[in-house]
Amino acid sequence: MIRLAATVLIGSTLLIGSCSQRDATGPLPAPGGAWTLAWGATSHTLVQPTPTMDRETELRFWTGFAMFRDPWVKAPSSTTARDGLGPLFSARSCQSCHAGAGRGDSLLNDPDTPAMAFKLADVDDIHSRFGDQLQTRAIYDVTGVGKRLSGFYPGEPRPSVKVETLELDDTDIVLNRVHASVPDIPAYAISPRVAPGLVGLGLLEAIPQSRLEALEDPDDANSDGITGRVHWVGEGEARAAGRFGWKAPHPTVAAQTADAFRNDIGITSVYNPVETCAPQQQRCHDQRSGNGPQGDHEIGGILFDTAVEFTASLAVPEARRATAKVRRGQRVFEDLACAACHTPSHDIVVAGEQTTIWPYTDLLLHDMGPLLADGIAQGDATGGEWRTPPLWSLGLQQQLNPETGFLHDGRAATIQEAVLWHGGEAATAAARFKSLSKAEQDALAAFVLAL
Amino acid sequence: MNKKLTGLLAMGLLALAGCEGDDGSVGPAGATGAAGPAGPAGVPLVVTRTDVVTTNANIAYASYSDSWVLAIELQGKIDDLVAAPSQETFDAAKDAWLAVNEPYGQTEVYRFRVGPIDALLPDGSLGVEGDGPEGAINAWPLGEALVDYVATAVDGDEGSDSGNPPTGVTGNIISDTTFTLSKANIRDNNELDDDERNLTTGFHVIEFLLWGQDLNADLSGTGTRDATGGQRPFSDYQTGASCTSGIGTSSASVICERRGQYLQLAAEILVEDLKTLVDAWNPNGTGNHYANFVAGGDVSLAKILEGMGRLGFGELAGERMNIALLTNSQEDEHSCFSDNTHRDIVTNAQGIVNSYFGEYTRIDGSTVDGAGIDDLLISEGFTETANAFRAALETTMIRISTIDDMAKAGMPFDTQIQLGINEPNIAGSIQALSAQTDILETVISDLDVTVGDLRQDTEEEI
Ligand code: HEC
Ligand code: HEC
Repeated sequence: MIRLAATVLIGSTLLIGSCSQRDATGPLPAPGGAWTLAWGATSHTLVQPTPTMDRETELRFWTGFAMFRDPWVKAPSSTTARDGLGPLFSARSCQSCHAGAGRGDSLLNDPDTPAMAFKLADVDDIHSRFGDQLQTRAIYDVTGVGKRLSGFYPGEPRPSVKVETLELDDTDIVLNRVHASVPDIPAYAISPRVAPGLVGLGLLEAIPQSRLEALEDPDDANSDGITGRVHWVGEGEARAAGRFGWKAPHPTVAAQTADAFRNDIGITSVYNPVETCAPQQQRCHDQRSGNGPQGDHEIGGILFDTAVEFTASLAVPEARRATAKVRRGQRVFEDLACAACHTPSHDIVVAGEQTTIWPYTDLLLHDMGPLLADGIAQGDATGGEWRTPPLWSLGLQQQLNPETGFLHDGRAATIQEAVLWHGGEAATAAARFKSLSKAEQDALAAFVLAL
Repeated sequence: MNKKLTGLLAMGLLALAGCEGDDGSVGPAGATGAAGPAGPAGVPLVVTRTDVVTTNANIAYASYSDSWVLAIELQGKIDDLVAAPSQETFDAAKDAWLAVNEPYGQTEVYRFRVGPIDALLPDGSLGVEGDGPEGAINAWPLGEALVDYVATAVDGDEGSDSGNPPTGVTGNIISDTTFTLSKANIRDNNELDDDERNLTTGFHVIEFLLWGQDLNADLSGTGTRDATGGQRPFSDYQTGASCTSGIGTSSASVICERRGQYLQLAAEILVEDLKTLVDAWNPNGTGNHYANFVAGGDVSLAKILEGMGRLGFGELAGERMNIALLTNSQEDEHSCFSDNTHRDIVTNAQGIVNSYFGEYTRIDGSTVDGAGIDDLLISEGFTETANAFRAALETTMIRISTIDDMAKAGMPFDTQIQLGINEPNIAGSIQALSAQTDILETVISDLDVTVGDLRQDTEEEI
C-alpha cells in the first residue's frame, strides 16, 4: 500500500498501471484515508463526523447540521437566525434534497421530487425572466392577489417530465432519459440535475491544484482519446480550479454552499448577498428579506461557516467487502481504463497530516458526447462537458435512497446503464463495456458499488 | 453461578446500591442467589439485553401515552377557551400546554434512531427517517408569519429588499378567509411532498396561538428583551366587537373565529398524531413496532444508545445550546413563544437518564422501572463504565438544572444566552454533555454493539 501511494505521486496519467491490484487480496483501501469512517456507526444516514474530529469541532459540526437540516422559514419570524426563505425557492432545507447527506431522488422514479435542480440556458430572454435556475415555489403572497398557499405567483413553473427510451444495439438493455419542459421554456434550455451525495468533500478540496493540472491532457498527448481539463473559475488571484457541482463551477465547498443557499432555498449570504429574483420579477423584489439587524445576511457569517464546515467534513464510509466478484470487477475497471478519468487515488494533506484518499475522480471536465450533453454552458464548461464524479460510497448512496439515479440527471438506474451512456471521450470505454460478458459487466458494477 | 459473575457481583453491588436503591439483601446477592426475588427496585442483577430493550420499549409506551393523555386534556382546555374566552380559560390552556411538554420532552430520546417518531408509516410499518410524525408534532422553527399576524420586526431584525414592507398582519392563513380551515387543509397544504406538510401543525403552532410572539418590554420587536413570554391577549379569541389581533388592535370577528377554529384543529391533529405513536409502542399490539423492537436484540440496544448520543450531543449541545450561544442575542430557542426552553432542555436530558437507568416517572407519580443499561453494564462486568456514565449524567443534570433554576427565578433561556458566550450555565452544560458523550462511546464499545446493517454487502459471496 505504501509503495502504491508513492507511485501515485509520481505517475500522473500513468496511474492506471500503477494502481493495478490485479492479485490483490484483503480489503479495498480506506476511501477517505485516515478520515474513513469505520462500519457500524449508523444504519440510516451519511451524516457522520470524521472520526478524528475532537469534541469541540464536533460540536460545530452538529451546529452546522442544524443549519443543513432545519427548514428555513418566511421572514419575519421569531427565529430570526433562520428566516428569509425565498421569495423564490426549490426546497426549505438542504436536507430536503440531500436526505441524510445522500443523493436526491431522480425524476424517473419520482417526477414530483423537490430534490432536483433545473438549470436554465442563457438563450432568448430566459435569464432575464427566470434567472439561471428554476425555483418552482415561492413564499405565501403578502399582497393577496392570485395567491395560493405556499405560492405567491406560484413560484416559477414546474417542468413537466417526458421519458424518452433508447434501445441499444447489441444489448437488451433499454435506456431511459428525461426531458423536462415548461410551456414558456423549451426542453433544450432546461437541464435537470440530481442532488449528489456529500461525503468527503473537504478531502476533495484538499487535493492540490498542481495535482489536477498534472492530470490534465488538453491536447491528448498520450493519444488515449481523453482530454481532461481543469474548469478554471475566477480571475487573477482568485483564479482556482472548479471542483464541485456536475460541471465543477465551484472551487470550494463554501462557494458551492453559498450557491445552494441562494439558488435552492432563497437564503442570501456574504458570498451571494442578492436574492435570485430575475430582473423582470418585480414582485419577487418587493418581498421582505430575513436580513439581520446589523446588516447581516439572511444566514449570518458564523452560522454560514458552521454549515460549510459541516458540509466539508462528512466522513467517507469504509469500502465494502472485497468479494471475489468485486476483485474481478476491479480487473475489468483497470482493463477498460475507467481510471483514465476516475483516477483512483490522490495524496493529500489535511489538518497537517498526509494521507491517501480513494475517490475515483480526476475532478476534470470531459466531453461526454451528445447523449449526455445538456447544451448548457456553465462558467467555462461547455454544453457537452461534465466533471468526472467521485465513485466512493455510490453503492451506499443508492442503498440509502433507492429512488435516486446515476449520472447528472439521474437517468441511469444501474452502474451498467451509467457506463452505457458514456460517450465522447469515454466512447471507447463504453464500447468495450458492451463487448464484455454479462458476468463481467456485473462484476464491474459490483466493484463500483463496493467503493 | 459462574465465577466471572460472582466477581462481578462483588464489584457491582456498590454501584447498584448507589443508583437503584437495591441494598443487596434480596435479589441475586440474597440467600437464594439469582433465583431469588428481585431487589426493592425491581431489578434483578442478572439482566439480559432483551430485558433492557423491553424496559426501554415499556418506557416509550408509558411516556407517549402520558403525552397523549395530556394532549387530550389540552384539547379540552382549548375547547373551553374558544367557547368562553377569558383570562382564566386562556391561562388554563397555556398550563395544559406546558404540562404535556413535560412527558413529551422525555420521549425525544426515542428520536434519531429510525423509530416510530421519525419513520412510522400510516400502515404501522417503519419507513425511512422523515416518514414519521415528528415533523407534524414538533416542527421547528415555525415560521409563524404563515399562520397568524406577526410584528413587522423582531429583535430589531427588520428590513426588506426594497420599498414595500408588508405589515405582518395579512398574508397568513388565519387572515386569508379564502383558505378553508379543515384538518385536511392544515395538514396538507403542501404542493410537493416531503418538505412542506409540517409547517402548520404541532406543539409550536399551538404554542404560538396561545402565547403569541415574544416581543419585548415595549411590545415592539426592537426594544430591550424582557423576561416574559409572548404577549397575545385572550381577546384574540373573543368574537364580535371585542375581537383583536394583538393588544389594542381590533379585528374583524371572523379573524378571531378563524383563529379559534385553527387552534382547535391543531389540537385535534396533535392528539391524533400522538395516538399513532402510542399504538406503535403498545405492548399488547401485534406485529407493531413494540413487538419488533423487543425482539431486536443488539440491533435495538444499539438504537437506544444511538438515540441517547445524538440527542445529548448533536441535538441538545450542538443545536439547541451552541447555536443560541453562537448567534447570541437571537431568539433561537425551541419554545420561543412560551419561554419554556429551559424545560425542553431538562426534559430532553431526563429522557437520556431514563433510558440509562430503565426508569421513568409517570404523570400520575407511579414509576415504570426495569432493567437499565447500567444494570447491563454491571452484569457484564463493566462496573467502572457504569459508574462513570452515571456520574457524567449526574453532572449534566446538575449543570442543566442551573439553567432551569435561573429561568424559574425569572431569567428565561433567551435572556440567559444574552449574557454571552461564556455564560457559565449554558457553557457548563455543553461541557457536561460533551464529557457524557465521551463515556457513552465507552459504553457502546464495552457492550460491543454496532448498528452496522449498512454492512449488508452488495454481494453475498465472499
Ligand atoms: C432543491 C434541492 C437542493 C437543495 C435545497 C440543496 N441542494 Fe445541494 N445540490 C442539489 C443539486 C441538484 C446539486 C447538483 C447541482 C449541479 O451541479 O448542477 C447539488 C450539489 C451540491 C453540492 C456539490 C456536491 C458535489 O459533489 O459536487 C454540495 C456541496 C451541495 N449541493 C450542498 C448543499 C447544501 C449545503 C445545501 C443547503 C444549503 C444544499 N446543497 C441544498 C440540490 C439541492
Ligand atoms: C472520459 C472520462 C471517463 C471515462 C473513461 C469513464 N468515465 Fe465514468 N464518468 C465520467 C463523467 C464525466 C461522468 C459524469 C457524466 C454525467 O453525469 O453526465 C461519469 C459518470 C460515471 C458514473 C455515474 C456516477 C454518478 O455519480 O452518477 C459511473 C458509475 C461511472 N462514470 C463509471 C465509469 C466506469 C465503470 C468507467 C469505465 C468503464 C467509466 N466511468 C469511464 C467520465 C469518465
